[in-house]
Amino acid sequence: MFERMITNSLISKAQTINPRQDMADRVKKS
Amino acid sequence: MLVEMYSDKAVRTAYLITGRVDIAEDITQEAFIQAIIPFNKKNAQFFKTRFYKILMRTSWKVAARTKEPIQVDSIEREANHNLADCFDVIDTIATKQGYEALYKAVSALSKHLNEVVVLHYYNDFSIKEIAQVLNCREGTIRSRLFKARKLLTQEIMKNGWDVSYFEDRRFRKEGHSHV
Repeated sequence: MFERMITNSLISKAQTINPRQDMADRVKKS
Repeated sequence: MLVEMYSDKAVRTAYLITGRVDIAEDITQEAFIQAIIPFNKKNAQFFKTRFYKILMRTSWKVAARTKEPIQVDSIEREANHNLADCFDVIDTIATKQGYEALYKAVSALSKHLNEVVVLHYYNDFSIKEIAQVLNCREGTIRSRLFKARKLLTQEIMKNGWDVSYFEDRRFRKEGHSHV
């Protein structure tokens, strides 16, 4: 269960950001 | 496309490693560029390993240059808004605080422990996959995960969180009679 909480903690933190959806364009342009 | 498949998770992984939202996308972009250039049909099956290898390396490189204190979510502000004598709300906030405490403990781990925790528990990588990404033996990865779990438990208990309550799928801080 502790392992599940580690996962939830990381997911919770990661979801505080919203990555832009233009990564493919950015990579293509580079 | 590969970029679309890995992009969101990769940006968030870079964010978890560096603690910096403003550079997580740049790191991911750089990792894609480096991983895609030598990419062809022959080595397609190795893209994930190669990409994450570069992503972790770039994240740590940038983190070493620019790391700032981990941003703390405005839990207190949220508490003031939402504490409406409702135990469910208190429970939710306690859980969020628990998550935040645990994330802080993860981010305070050494580089070697932090990266295995992020890859295993956030990216759902197997021991074997992590060993490939980090060029280590599987036994080493197992050992690091064991040590990381032990340190995380100690750290959050030191800060007053009662680990026994994890079985209730909740974090509860000692001294709260209901929550």
